[in-house]
Amino acid sequence: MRPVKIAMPKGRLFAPLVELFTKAGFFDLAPEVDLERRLTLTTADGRWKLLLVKPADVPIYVEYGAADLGVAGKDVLLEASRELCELYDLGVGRCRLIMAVPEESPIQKATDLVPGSRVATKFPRIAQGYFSSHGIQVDIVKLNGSIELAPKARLASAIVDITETGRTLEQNQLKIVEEIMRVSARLICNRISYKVHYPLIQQMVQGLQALEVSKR
Amino acid sequence: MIKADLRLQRPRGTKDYLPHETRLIRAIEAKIRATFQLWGYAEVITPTFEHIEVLRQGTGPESDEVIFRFFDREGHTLGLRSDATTPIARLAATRFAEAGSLLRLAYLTNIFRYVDPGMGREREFHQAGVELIGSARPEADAEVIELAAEVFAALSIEAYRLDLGEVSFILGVLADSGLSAKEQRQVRLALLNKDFVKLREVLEAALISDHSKQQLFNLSQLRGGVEVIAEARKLTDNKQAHAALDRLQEVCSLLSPEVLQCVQLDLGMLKDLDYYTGVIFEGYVPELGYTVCTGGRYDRLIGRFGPDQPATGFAFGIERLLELVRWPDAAGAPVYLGYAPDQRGEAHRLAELLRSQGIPTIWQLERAVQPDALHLQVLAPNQYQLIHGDQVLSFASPVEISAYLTSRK
Repeated sequence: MRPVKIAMPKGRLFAPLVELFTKAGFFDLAPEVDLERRLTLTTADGRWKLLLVKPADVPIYVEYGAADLGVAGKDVLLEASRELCELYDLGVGRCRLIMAVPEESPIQKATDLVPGSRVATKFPRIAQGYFSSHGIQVDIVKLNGSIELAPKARLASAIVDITETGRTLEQNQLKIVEEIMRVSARLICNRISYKVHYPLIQQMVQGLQALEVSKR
Repeated sequence: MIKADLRLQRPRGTKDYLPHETRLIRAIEAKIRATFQLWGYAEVITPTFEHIEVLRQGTGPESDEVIFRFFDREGHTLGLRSDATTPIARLAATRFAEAGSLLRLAYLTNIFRYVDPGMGREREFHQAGVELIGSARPEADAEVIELAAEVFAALSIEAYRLDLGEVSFILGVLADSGLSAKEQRQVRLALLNKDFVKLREVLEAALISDHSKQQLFNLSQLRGGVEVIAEARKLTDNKQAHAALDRLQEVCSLLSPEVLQCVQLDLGMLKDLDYYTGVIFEGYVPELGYTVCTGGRYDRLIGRFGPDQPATGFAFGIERLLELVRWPDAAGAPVYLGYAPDQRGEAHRLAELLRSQGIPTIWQLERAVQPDALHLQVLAPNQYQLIHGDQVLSFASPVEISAYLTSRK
């Protein structure tokens, strides 16, 4: 049988995900020396093929059916806005999407932003949606990294970014003024693969649920 | 910033089809059209644009932003056809108003939607489909489902599957679940988007018993063979849901064994167009990441234009089929025909004869020779030369030539 293809995000989420999937009994990976450099990986039993891709690319692989399943943060999913199935909240990679401003800024909440202020973010779609739904007019500036630098360099008066502990923000003299949403990694699935691999998918979700219950 | 030269661009979400693709599209359409005709469905053509009020009956007020719109000089808002069923519902209500008449209509048309172009999504695309208007019988549902299966067969797509659902099943369960109207809408949206994380969240936060939450979740996850109907009956005593299961069971019992073998039931299935009322279905092929056919019963759409009439139908996405169909090029190799200066009359007679035999015959206008093509020269009456690469053949009569070319086909 053809292996089931699952798109896995490279980077900080990869190791905890492999651990979780191993515990849930989906697949067992031999310890790999140089995982980061590989593009694909087939499990020893030949049932799974892992595609190792950049986190933001996971929804694309899944929507097009190049991967049957995938794992992506809710932030990435909302930003990508693609047609797929969201199967399960894996509970790993928990963090918050927040709005932050420099410590000395008089801004205490989103509505304090002067109309036309610039807000820097890696998530322009989510940020725009958040400000629009609160009737706040701002200019969104899309950056690709080091968002914390933007207020310091006077590029923007606020940022919208992901934070786990808040430490990086603190180190850069930024304070959180709004929590936009809590995010975590989700198990996602192509809409046709959902139909074709339904028994497997049910089995996976039940396995994950059982694991969650046993942890409580 | 580099300014795009718009003279060289197509608008986003549109496509040029080159000859080899166009030939394939027309071949697909011809097979579908012939199948529709064999089942008694008569093709109709509705206007490319309609009053916006017509199209809105199909999209619903919440999704009317997908309509491409413009004004006429009297100030009416017009929209490009955003789905095929709504104009046909208008046509059926206004042109075939007598009750009791059964209509079988078909269409092959382009559709325009102002969407973000992406996978399997363009702003102009093509659909082929049917509408069976005037019957609420399960036999009518079974007829269109079997016709959809027949289209797959006509296109030699063997690996197709059909998912069947019934919209009033889950809506019935929701109606007496104790959920607020807002929560019900959230559940419907989560099911439509197949966002089961959101579904769990909405249920978790709702003020109903844990038992009801679990039951609702389980019902929305019922998927499999005909046996899931019996399973569903045990899980709910809602009347509307049971009536929906009765209809689904009856439709399944009417399907031929060959079609039923390709059918899966999905009781959590809902549709994005808000006019569906009964048995709905989706056709797909495992190798392709999206559905190629969608349809179902819509008993209240025609009533928005006139007296209520029950109806059901489906549409295939032609561009989506294009990804699945791989036929060899059926067109025969053409012959390039040239002639000595005084032989034009003779060449005309020869061209007429070859074309009447179904051999594409092209006038050789320029001296340049097409590599690998057949070149025919009229040198004198009853003196012809056929050049194919290095090969040169001589013929003494048009009949001889036509016999030779026909035998090559």
